[in-house]
Amino acid sequence: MIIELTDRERSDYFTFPSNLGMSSTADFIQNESDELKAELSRTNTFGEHISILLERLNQIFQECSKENWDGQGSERIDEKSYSTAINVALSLPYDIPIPDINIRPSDGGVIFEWFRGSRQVFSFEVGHQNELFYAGLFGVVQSNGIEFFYDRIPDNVIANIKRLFV
Amino acid sequence: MELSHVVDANELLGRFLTDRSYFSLTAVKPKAFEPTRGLTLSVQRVDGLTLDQIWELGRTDVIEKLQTNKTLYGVGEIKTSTVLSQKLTIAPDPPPCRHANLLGWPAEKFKQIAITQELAAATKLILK
Repeated sequence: MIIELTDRERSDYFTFPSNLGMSSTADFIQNESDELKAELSRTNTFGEHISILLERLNQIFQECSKENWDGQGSERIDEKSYSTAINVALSLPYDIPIPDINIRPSDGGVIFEWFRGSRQVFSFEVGHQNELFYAGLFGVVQSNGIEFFYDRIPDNVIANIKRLFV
Repeated sequence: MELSHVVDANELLGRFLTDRSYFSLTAVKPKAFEPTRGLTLSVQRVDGLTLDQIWELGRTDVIEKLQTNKTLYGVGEIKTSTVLSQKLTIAPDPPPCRHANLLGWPAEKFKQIAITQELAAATKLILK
C-alpha cells in the first residue's frame, strides 16, 4: 500500500497533516510519519536545508532571549512564536531559498524574510495563535494580510514567496 | 544647535545602521526600520550635514548611547515626506538635539511590516 503524504504541486516534504486519531492505526501512521521525517532530515537534499534553518532559529533564541537584546529597548523573544516558527521552518518547501530569520524588537515575534532588493521583498511574522502576518513588495505591487499556519504554510504565502524567484 | 520643533517635509532623516542585518551590499533592509517596544523608531535629523559630521553624530549620539556594543556601518537617508506618506508622524525628541522618533505605527502587524518595507525601499544606503 502506498500512502501519498504530500501535495504533488508543492515540495514541503516535511509537512504532514495533524493526526487526531485515537486508534492503534492512527498511532501507527503517526509513528511512520515521524520516522519518515527523521529519515528525510538525515538526507543531503533535505537535511541541509532543515539544519540551516534550525541552526539559525537556535542562534536567534540565544541572542534574543533577554529583554533589550539590541540595546534599543527591544522585547525578548516570544517563546510561543518561536515554537511555532520551528514548525513553520520544517514546513518550508525545500525548493524555496532559505530566508533571513530575525526577531521583531517591538513584540519579540519571529519574522521570516526573503529579500531580493529594495522592492522585491516578502516577510511574515509568526503570531501567538498560529497567525502569519505577512507583507510583500513586488515592484509597485503590495500584498499584505493575515493567514494561519495549521500543519502547512498556506498556498497564498507560498505563492507570494515564489513571486520573488520567478 | 537649535532645530525647528516641526520637521519640514523636505528634511533628510538618517537611520544609523548599527547591525549587519540592516542592509545588503546595495540596499537598506526593512529590518533597519523595525520599531522597538512601544512602537517608536529612533532617527536623526541629518539635513545639511556633511558625511564626516554624520559619522561623528552616529558615533556620539547613537553608538555611545546604546547599551550594547555596536558598530556603525553606515546610515540610511530618507526624506521626511516619505515617512509622512506612510501616515507616520515625526516627533523631535531632544536631547541629543537632532534626535527624533517615528510614531503613529498602526496596530496591525502586517501593516507595520509593509511600512518597514516601503521605508527601506525609499532609503538611500550610505556605507561608512
